[in-house]
Amino acid sequence: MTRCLKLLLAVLPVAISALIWQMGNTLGEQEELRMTRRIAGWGLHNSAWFPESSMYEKINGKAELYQEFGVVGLLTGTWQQGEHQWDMYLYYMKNARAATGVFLVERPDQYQPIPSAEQAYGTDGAHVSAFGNYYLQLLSVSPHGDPQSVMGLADGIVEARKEAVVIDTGDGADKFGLPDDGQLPDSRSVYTSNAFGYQSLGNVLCAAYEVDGTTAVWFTAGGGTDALSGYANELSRFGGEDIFSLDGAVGGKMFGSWELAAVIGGDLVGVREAGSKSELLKHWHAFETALNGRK
Amino acid sequence: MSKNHGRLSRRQFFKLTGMLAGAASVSGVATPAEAQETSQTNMAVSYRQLGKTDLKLSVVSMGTGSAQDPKVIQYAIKRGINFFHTANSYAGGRAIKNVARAIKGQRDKVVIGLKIDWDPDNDNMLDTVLGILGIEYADIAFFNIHKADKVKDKKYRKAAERWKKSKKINYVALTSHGQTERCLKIALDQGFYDALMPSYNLTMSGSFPAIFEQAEKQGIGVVLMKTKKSLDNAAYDKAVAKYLSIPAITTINRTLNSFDAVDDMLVRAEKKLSARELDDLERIVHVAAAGSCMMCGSCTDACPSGLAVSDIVRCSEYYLADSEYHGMAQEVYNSLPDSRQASNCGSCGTCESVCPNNVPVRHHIRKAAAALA
Repeated sequence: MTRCLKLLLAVLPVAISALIWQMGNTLGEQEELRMTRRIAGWGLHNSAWFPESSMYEKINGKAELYQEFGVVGLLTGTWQQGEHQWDMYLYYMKNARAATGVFLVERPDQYQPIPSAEQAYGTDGAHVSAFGNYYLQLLSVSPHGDPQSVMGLADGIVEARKEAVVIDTGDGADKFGLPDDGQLPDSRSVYTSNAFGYQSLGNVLCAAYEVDGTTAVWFTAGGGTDALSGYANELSRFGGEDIFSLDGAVGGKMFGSWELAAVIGGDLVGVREAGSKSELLKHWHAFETALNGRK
Repeated sequence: MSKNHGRLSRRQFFKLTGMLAGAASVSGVATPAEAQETSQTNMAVSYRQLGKTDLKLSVVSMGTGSAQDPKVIQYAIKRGINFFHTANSYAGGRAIKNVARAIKGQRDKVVIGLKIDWDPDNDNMLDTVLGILGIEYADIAFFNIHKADKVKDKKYRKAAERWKKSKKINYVALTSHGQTERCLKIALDQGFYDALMPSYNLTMSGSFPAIFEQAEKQGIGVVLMKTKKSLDNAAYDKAVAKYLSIPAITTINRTLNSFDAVDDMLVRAEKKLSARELDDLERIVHVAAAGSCMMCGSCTDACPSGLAVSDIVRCSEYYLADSEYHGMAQEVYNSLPDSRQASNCGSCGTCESVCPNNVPVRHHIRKAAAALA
């Protein structure tokens, strides 16, 4: 009996890995077949699916960046309309934050925002967007392709994906991202590790918000309760003062500004850089209300 | 509100509340783990005179290339680190702004090293950068030169004299990570530099020991950068003590991205090595040196396609070292002119034939082309 149990324990991780791998592959094949082949006069050719484990074959070392944020796989292909050809790289990220994360990290300093989409920009020869769990790059095969010329195609891909399977292999933490209301323009940032100096905070998405004329930074991070424990530890070890707890949230004053973090829905969220404790709590209340409104 | 936090398990709840209790009773009885942490926090920092200058620098100092959160810099100041090296070009201009936020109101506690990453004939740029930093002067201006011939250019000396006279800088230094030994030797001969900041690690031998000795004789302080390259954490723990045992070395400048990293570095700096640890270190370094780039610049000089080979290798090594450095690798790579980037490599192998350390240069060029181009 004990031997059987040992054997079971030994093969279980392998079996689970194989199952996940198979799910990723099957999902990819299904998605490739589901991909609409004609959108707004464009036709799709040579589409191929690369699960996370073999993305290197297509994009070499760049795969590491996507893996760092959490990726399921990559659907590639070439869209053609007359003489115009654009390569598609549609990344299936594990959640919406991962999609936004790579979008922000790869966005160059100089870009042309695309007003019709929440997270989209164009550069010379590229149209890039993040929507839902997806990160989409359309890259012109010929030099200097006009990103405006593929607006219809990009919109069509977004529309088609709305009906596709939404993948969330995480802990359900990313049913929400950062709220739009009150967010200051161009204030969003992503930190993959050591966010704000804390080793316990990784995969952080943050932005500045204004509430009643005061500003503070709101953030979401990976890691749940373990990350919160780590955060509380670091806050106390590295100079945090007036440390408090409030309904599961942990906070304090750190080098002149106030901050706190809590776990909501399994995800770590928080507010920092508030000018006073009352401002901090005001922002926290607003953030919490926005998050609860999304549930 | 509390219902939103209902996913804590019992174990997690006790872990967290225990942590909070610990956090709230910092002045109370410490657990063994807390006592260890507290002892690190209270560790005194050593300071050394920078050559003949009147500056006393902490033996650990901080680079700001990753645009750390200002609070990490503030924490470092609180811990006694007093020298910070920054540049307008770091992290797209974010680094210098973060430094400005961190040092506001405590200028008297910090020594600012400013990398001059523009043409030194442009005095207006110095005013602009000092303005962004919110300071009237930089303690040390670092001319950033990676070509031996350029070190001889008189415009650097002239700029140093002008800026000192106008009290916008107090001292001048040379920083180099390409053709480093040659650049340093010329700088020593010129005699107007107050300090040197080479990239250096224990896997590099060559004429560095003689250069350091000469610098000490001339009263020129030495700041080391890129000291961890090719060494893992365990080796680096010992290497820091080894670096600081060199009399010419004033401080080790390192990019520290977290509060914990600041503490770790301070602990390393106070470590004393036993004879056995020195032996261990020597063995580790011997292995690490094989195939490791010393940034001597021979490959760049020899490349028939004019690639910035040494810089490309550096970018590739940053990229491969740690995901934390991906951004830095990309930034350095983007700063290279298109014509000198990896995609122009003809794969002739000249770089590898001239490399004194048998670095697989073409492997790095291919990595850089794949990951950074």
